[in-house]
Amino acid sequence: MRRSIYLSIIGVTAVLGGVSAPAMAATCADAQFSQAVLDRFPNIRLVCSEIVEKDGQQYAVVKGDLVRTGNNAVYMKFKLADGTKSDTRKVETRPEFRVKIDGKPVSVRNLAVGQELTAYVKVSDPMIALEPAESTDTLAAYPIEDAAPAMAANTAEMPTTASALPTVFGLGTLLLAFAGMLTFLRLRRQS
Amino acid sequence: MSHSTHGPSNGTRGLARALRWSEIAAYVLGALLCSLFALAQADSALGSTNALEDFAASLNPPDQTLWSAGRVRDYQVAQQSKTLAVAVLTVPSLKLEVPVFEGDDEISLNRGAGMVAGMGTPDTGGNVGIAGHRDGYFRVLKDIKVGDLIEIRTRLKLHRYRVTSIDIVDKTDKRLLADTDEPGVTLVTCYPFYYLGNAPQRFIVAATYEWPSDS
Repeated sequence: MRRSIYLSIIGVTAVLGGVSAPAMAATCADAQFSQAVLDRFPNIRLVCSEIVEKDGQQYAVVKGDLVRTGNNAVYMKFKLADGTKSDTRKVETRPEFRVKIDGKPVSVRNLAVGQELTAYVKVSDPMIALEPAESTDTLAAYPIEDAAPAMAANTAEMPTTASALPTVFGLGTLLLAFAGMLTFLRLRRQS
Repeated sequence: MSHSTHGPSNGTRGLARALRWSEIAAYVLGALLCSLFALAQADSALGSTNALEDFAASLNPPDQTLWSAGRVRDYQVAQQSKTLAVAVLTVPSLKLEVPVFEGDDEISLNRGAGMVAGMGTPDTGGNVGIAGHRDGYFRVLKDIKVGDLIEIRTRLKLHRYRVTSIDIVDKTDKRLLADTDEPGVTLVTCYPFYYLGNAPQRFIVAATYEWPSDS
């Protein structure tokens, strides 16, 4: 029984491995990145975790942390092999696009800073795509941009953080004290 | 017909009447102002507690699979009618836990802290501005130190930040509210902490995002 389970596991692993990475799959070190990719993403070999084949194209798998979300784009810092992070990079996407977070499909509109995302970089062209929630979904690749997030204009105003309540309480207490003093004087005059 | 020469004169009686009315008016107005203060304090305590409870409940919405369509609709209407906090701000070293509302209007700041309009949000990134009353929830910030942990729980994620700087600036100086490439949070309150009226300065606590792998 146990042996058959092992054999099944090995069989499933072999099948899955065959789908995502052919037997003679390239590695990050020997993948033939085009010059355009290396120009746009010089440290691609350092951030690449594996090479996979999708829709007949080779892609480098890169993982990174979400730094910011923007209009039809997310900004990520990719994880380098030595544990450090790359500069912030923009990855375009569509608002209705869904990625997988903790095993669940999540719309890019509901992503939060700090979440880990996976992206695919095309080996032959300087294109990048977020990993879709479903492995059967087609990749939506966009040109790689090294632009840092566009800073929003500083329109914020310094907030007013002093409440009028202490003044209200102080004034009320003073009035009550004044009234009490008048009562005291009146009663003293009457007696 | 004779007039008494021993009773109080008209002028004295008039003054006594005026003082009596002043006394009553002072009692009424004083009581009104103190009641207003007490009501605001109660609203602050209850509003904050309710907002924290509602926020916690919104993280785990009830299973509505067996509910009737009408009940689900009523529940959604009831939820929408509440002023829900968008996040909960916690500073463990100061034992501060306060709901964060979308705006920094007077009612929001009485019940908790408020997001500064025109700045980032914890989930979307950038520089997140959060304001609070220096005579309310944010008075404890006077004891905050560089290196202290700040946590912001949104409906999507728990974000952690480390305090990197504490500044006192003029109330017109908005430089520290500018957007940043790295995600961060800026807490703002009035300074000096003990001051009657509009304080001339602002106490600014800046903190940068603590990535899970950094901690």
